[in-house]
Amino acid sequence: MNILEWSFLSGVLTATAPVLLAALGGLICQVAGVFNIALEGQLLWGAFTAVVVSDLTGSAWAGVAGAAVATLLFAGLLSAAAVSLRADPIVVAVGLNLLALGLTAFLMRQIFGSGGTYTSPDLAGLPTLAELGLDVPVLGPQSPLVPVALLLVVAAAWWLGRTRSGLRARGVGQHAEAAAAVGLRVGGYRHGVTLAAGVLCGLAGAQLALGNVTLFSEGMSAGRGWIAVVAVMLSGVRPYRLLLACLLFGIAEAVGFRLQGAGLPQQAADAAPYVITLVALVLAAVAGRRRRENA
Amino acid sequence: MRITPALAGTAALFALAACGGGGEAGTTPASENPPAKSIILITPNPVGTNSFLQLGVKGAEAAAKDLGASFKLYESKDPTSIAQNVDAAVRAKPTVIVGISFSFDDVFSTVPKQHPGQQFLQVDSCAKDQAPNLACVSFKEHEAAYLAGVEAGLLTASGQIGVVAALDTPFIHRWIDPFFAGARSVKPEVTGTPLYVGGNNPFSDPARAKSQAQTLTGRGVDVIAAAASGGNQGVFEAVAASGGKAFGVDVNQCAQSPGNVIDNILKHVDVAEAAAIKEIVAGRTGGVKVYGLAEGGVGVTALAEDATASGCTVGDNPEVLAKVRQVRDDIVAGKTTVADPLQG
Amino acid sequence: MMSDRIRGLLIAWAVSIGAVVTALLASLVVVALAGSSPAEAAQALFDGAFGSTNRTAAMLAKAVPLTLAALGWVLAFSARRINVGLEGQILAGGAVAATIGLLVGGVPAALHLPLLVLGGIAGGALWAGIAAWLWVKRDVNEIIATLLLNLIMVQAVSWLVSGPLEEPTHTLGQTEPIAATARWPVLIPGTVLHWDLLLVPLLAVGLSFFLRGTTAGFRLRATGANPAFAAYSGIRTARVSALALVASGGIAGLAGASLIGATPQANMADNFSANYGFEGIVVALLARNSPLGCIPAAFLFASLKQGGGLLEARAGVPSGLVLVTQGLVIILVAGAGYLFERRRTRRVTAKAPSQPLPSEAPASDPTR
Repeated sequence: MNILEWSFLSGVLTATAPVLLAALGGLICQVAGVFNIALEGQLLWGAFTAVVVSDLTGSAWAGVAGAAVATLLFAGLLSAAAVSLRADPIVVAVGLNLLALGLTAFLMRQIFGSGGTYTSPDLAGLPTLAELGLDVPVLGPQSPLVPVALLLVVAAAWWLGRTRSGLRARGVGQHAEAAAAVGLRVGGYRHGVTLAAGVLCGLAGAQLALGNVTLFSEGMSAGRGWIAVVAVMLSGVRPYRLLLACLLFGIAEAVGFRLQGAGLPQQAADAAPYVITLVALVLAAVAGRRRRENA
Repeated sequence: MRITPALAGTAALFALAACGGGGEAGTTPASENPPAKSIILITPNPVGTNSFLQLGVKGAEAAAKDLGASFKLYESKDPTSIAQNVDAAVRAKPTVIVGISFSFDDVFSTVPKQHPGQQFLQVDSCAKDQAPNLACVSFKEHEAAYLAGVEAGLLTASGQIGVVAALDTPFIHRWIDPFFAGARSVKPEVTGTPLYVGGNNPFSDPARAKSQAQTLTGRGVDVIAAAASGGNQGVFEAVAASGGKAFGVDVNQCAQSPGNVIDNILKHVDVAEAAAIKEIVAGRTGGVKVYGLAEGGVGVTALAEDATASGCTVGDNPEVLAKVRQVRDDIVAGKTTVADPLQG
Repeated sequence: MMSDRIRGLLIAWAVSIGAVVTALLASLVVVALAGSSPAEAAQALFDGAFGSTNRTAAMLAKAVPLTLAALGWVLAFSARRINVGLEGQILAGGAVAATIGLLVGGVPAALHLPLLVLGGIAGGALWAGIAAWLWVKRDVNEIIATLLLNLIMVQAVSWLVSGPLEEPTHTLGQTEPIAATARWPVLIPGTVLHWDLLLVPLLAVGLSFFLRGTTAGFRLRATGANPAFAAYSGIRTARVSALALVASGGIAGLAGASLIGATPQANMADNFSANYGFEGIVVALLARNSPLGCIPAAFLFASLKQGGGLLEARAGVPSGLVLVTQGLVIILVAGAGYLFERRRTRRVTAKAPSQPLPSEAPASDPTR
């Protein structure tokens, strides 16, 4: 493989990482029966808090930790309203997405004194693996959070398939009443996954704002949280399929850049992944129906 | 191209993420006794950190100062409140009412006709149905892009240059085609590649802008013009990592990424607007006033007196500075013409 | 029985109003913490929406698409279909309306405006129809389908306004103003308020009557309340639900036609839907899915949107605060509802779940 293709793969991985981290959060929520569409807002909040903490402390890792904690707290709102108070998680998520957009715009002006884009020499970005001594193709230019995201896919698969708590979480998601009847604390599992998704979205935001680039700009999540939701849908709550779905979007983004040269309207390239997703959903549904009919 | 947060917001597709512009007319109340001369500037959006609108305010203030006129700023919260602000301005009866951007196209094709005694000025666009008491200011952005292209052609080592633009629209091609043409004028073998940010938030997606810039640098491109509004910083990061260089757009962005920005494709909104206001006050009303290099309405930082101290890397290359100034003189003198992509 | 219902309604409204008041107070606390004067901010917010005829008219103009989108949600939700694609349906309806306004010429207003309106309805209904078809025939969950269709339509509109429908100078990324004959006439001269305001009472009362007073409306509600029982009593639930989704899209498309034909600029630009499709959901929620309740709820949200404009200019408060307030209202209404409302345990789906997809996931079950 020549250098050009390495850089292509590397670009795909960079584009995939924040979406994948957020999607992992969506996946574990889905497993336990919480439909979480607040990923977009949490991703934006994570990006903002990562930049604020990194800017204050001069440490990117403090920024990552800060984003994880801050987004955990933010997810606490969803957890409290949707799990404790049994509000509809879709509705609460719509509220959280608005709240994140408003709060980041508001606080940005309060903290940095202006809107738009913020960057500064004091703002520490995450180092690349190459800078940390792991100078290999594809992974070398990535931040350490990228291999972490990939390992988390493996961890999620192991948790869901091999651990008692993972199996129980699935039980909670598939049949809450039955799970409660055998003594499982349904609310506890749901609080757990919602908060964990907050941490994952915090990492996703930190990767976006301190890994992919080193800055914050208003609305910089730019729909990545929604793509994560779509990926969760496509995955059928299987972590490896989730990885594939996220890579599909990463590749679509990278290939989209290349299609532009070929005279296709850029909007067609941008819409393509969503059209493909719809078609894939139709095919999956048809295949699923056939399986059931045969069974 | 102008940096318009409104566009950035509106382009955001997941409407949840795009819910930015909430409100309405933030009008500054007009005074009761207007002095002999007065100027009211209406913006389509809050000025805030919008550098384009900031220049607009600066130009109107400068003109007011020179003319001894009073100056009032009516900020619209979003384009839907423009009509109300224009009404308020008309009631205040200033010497000139200035509106910035295409957002005024509709209002300015009706209101000036209803108030023939009132002078209007529209900056950076022109209402289709232009009344005799409406003057318009437009820019030859392509001339500035051409000059930047000359610099890029002289400074590229690989012979490959690129542009990362927000969207693929004919207007945005004013920053692309002339940039490549300028480069080829000094180095005919230069190849130019444009890539577009697109996606869900094309005017404010630095991560996508960066990955496109990386796609370009991965192919050996070493000079990239950043016409991606809020995404420009991502382009600067990409060239910094690859050892390439970038161009900023609209305002001096060299300080945003020290050592990585060659120069900027500038639109001197303030200069053009102040000049146009003075012309109107002097009685030369109506018509379209086009500001290019000759009028100082567009340019590059390299043309400034203090180019070597501007923080832009072009300042380290005296021969490039000299060449750019010579090409500028050629364009002004009509010896070189820059093709306008919009006329193509 | 009757008094129970009235008591329930009173409590429901108390919850909504309480949530709004709490969210406003919380926002004012944020203003105070940020070092600005809450009194000044509140005054600016009020003046921004009611300070002059112009501003009140602008507020009312904003309430029109908000109410329509909310009614679209209510209609689909009566059959327990979750239409999060209102935004895309507004765009689709507006795109068709704009095309009619631009390309059809030489017809009198008496014909052109109805064409624009019908085109808007058709566009929205068609776009929702794709999701309805996918749901009925292909078992694709309507939440994900409508969400994806939003994304696709945004790109389609972006392509239209910077491609085939762009104004002749190709500089602005938007269309020319549509023909004067296709526009809604202005209701109050000199303001941005158009006659499409009439749609608000018309459709709200109409939908309320339809749901409560007609057989078709009964079938719709029966399908939503208990699909298994509805099917058992001979209602073709899949068909009813799909039609509800399509009609819901039609109302959203009507809002799209208003955003093209009842605005001062009267043209189509990128993302002209301006988030009305999602805010409409919030309005419907605040109105507790009552069609008539959507009117005051929409006015409240329109006042916030309109009033927020003066916040930054006069009180120096970044207008992002209005979004914060809106977000808080939603979370509080959603969260508080449970404390007052007895939990209902009916199942949602009109069809047997075929995939482990979101609306079937118990915790997201919107009817609980």
